[in-house]
Amino acid sequence: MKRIHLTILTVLLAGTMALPAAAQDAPVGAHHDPMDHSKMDHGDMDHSKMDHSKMDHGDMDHSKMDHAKMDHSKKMDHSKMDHGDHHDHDGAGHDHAAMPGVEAPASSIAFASTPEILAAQARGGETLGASVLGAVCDFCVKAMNKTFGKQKTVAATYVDLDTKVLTIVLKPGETMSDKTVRKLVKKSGYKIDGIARLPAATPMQKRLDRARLDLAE
Amino acid sequence: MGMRSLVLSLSVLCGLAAPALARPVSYEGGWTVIAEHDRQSTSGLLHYTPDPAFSIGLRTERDRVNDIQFTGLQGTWLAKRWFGEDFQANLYFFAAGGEAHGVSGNPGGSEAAGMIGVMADWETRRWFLSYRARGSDFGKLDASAMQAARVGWAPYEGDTGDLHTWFMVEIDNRPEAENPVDVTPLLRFFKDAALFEIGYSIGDDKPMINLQYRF
Repeated sequence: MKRIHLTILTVLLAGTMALPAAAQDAPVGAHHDPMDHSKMDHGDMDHSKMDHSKMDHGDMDHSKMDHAKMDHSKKMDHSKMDHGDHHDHDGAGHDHAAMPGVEAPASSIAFASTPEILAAQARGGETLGASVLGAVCDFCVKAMNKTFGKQKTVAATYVDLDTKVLTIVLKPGETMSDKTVRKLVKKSGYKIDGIARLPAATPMQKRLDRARLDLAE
Repeated sequence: MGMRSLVLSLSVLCGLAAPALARPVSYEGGWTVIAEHDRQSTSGLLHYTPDPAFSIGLRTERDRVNDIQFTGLQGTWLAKRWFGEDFQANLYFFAAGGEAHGVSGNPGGSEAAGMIGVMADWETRRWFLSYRARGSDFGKLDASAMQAARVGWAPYEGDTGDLHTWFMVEIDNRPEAENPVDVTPLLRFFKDAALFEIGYSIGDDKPMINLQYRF
């Protein structure tokens, strides 16, 4: 089935390339409006060698796309993609929280970006964010920083009283289960409302983190 | 039923109460040192939290009005913590047992002594409410009870690590005191793991100074 889809896509792509110049000037988004991505499985796609640098998504209307049933969690590797300067994609119209492989609260968790957190991220560790109930004072902050700081797998932590989010950056290659996060927050005397994860930084993200860190300093 | 038994029973029955300071139980493995000085007594408590619902510590207290020195162990139990996105509320019970003796001219000898109490608080980043009640039995030396309620307001919501400032007012009731009811306006300063309070009782003209540090 996938082969059939790929073949159809290849034929369509070839047809598009063969269109007269006037037709090619039409907005790119005009080709996407009727598309239904909901049943597509992107799991086997290899974007690593694609050059997206000439794509202009600026005029695309993503609001009607249904990504809810797409499974991005398996084999997609965007780390080597070159999106160039034209790819300005703020995710508007998408509901990433509904995608498999991402816990629902992820979209509502604001990860901290303090110098310590950025420095730890730049070293390549996975980032976790936990929405904590009852965090109203610096004693709460102290409790969670101390409890997580004692863990050998943890590189940096930060509790934001405004967002009520505990951000944890693990050491490179380390993991921490949701169960462990909940247990440690409970040991601190508090309770978790939701957990979200960011994958370890890619080389590009590491460079960005270092740049942000330099700016912050 | 003797006076002491009555006082202790009333203290337990009057139930709802709140801590003079914040969070008398810490995180697992945490230590806390608390020093309090109010219109009647000066006390110190060093406690360790082996479980997030329980702390155990060494308490020393000098009742300056009745010239009594108490030293003993105190256990505090977090019976219930309510969590919300923007608030936290707690109900604690505590008990202490040890030795008391007269000081500063009080000829009273060494007595087995104890105290029990209950504390409750509700806190957001802007508002604070608390209540506490305590009954003390110092053997032949003295028996007493007290209760206090506090309301606090923060003029701004400080970020993590900032200096947090609170305006508070405490009303306390000590039936045997010269002024059974007194009002103490105070300021609370809170930064990182350190908390400092300074106030002044209007009726007794006595300062209130409280310190707490968590490590």
